Amino acid sequence: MDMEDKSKLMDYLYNEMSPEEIVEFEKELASSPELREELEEMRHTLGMLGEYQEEEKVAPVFLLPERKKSSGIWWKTGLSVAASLLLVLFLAAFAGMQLQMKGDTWVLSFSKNPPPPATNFQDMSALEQRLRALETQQSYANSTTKETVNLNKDTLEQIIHALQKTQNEQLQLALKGVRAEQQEDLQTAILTLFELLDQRRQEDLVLIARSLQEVQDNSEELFFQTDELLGQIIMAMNTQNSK
Amino acid sequence: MPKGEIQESWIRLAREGNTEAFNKLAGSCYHRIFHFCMKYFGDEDEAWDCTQKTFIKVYEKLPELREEGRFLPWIYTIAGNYCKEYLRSTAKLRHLPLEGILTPELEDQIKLERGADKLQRGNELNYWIEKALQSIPEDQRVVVIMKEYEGFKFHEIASILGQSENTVKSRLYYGLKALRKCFEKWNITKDELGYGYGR
Repeated sequence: MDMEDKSKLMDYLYNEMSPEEIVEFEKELASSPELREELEEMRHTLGMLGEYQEEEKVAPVFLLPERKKSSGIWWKTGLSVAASLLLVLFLAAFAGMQLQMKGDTWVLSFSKNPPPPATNFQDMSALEQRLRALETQQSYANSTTKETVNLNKDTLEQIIHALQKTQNEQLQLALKGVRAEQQEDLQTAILTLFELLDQRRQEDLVLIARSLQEVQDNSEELFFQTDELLGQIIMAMNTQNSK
Repeated sequence: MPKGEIQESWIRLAREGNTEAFNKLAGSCYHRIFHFCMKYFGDEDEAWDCTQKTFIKVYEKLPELREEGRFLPWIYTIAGNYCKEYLRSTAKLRHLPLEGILTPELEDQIKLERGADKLQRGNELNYWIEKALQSIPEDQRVVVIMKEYEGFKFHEIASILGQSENTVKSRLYYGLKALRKCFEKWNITKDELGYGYGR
């Protein structure tokens, strides 16, 4: 039996043939005892497999983590973009950025000076004019930056000094407070310890006194019992002697 | 709604993270996946373990499933992969050399007791069918289970396993032949099973 026959046998067995294919295959079956025997064996095996009994299984409850929704991500992304833009605008305003349109040209500048006249650099005179404007702008920017740096440095030093002073004062106050608390705690602990020791001593004394009393009581009873026994023995001996 | 039917709305909701819908979805096909694994391993603990892993994977990967109608073949692909992976990872343990440790008599006794334990829990024929399925090659076993018990069409099995239809049919043919040989060797017939086992 070749692979094609095996394939057809499987299709026939599981009813995956068209009506025409079934008719054709049944003709083959009728003429081939080997194929019929094979089919019978397969049916028998499937009959055995079909006896498998499945025990009912119920799914447990799955407690799963919440899945992040995509809309939330977009919302957060939008917010971050807006925050970034705001930061850029703030920095631009701080740096004195200006954007103007002069003729056909957009001019971007980073100073509080008015922007230089727009030019398309068509001739040399225009180029020179532009260079001079740039030099002026550069020198102004340098002086402004230095002044800002100096001012910032002084202010910063003052702030740092004030902060250090406050910090030192606070630290000393805190240390003082902690020391006082520690001393107080130590005194309390010593007092408690003394009280405990005293209490323990009193208890021990009571216990010793009680034990002594018990020993005394027991001794007296023992003496009494011994006397009684001795008396009985003496009496018994006297009785024997008199006999 | 018939038992075990899967509603596409559950798949859609579960994909969005709705745990209740996921539990309904899992409830509708848990039994099928468990028994697929059970026949694959012939061991309840291993079947349970792989079923759990399958459903956790399903939850994680559900957003990637584009067509709701492909859910069943998709979940069987996951379960099949887990079973194969599990079998590979435990292959060394399954073939630990016991020669010199166990005597043949002791091995027979263990086998007998294991079988008896299973028989106490269920049908006797189930035990022999599971045992027969374990003794045929893994690639044939998967096809037999999917065709005979899960009722997939040949083209669906081919799609799940990533094989051609002819390969699937060939594996099924040889798988059924091997099972037949097993039953003959152990002298198992439906009629005789009422008289106990131990042949």
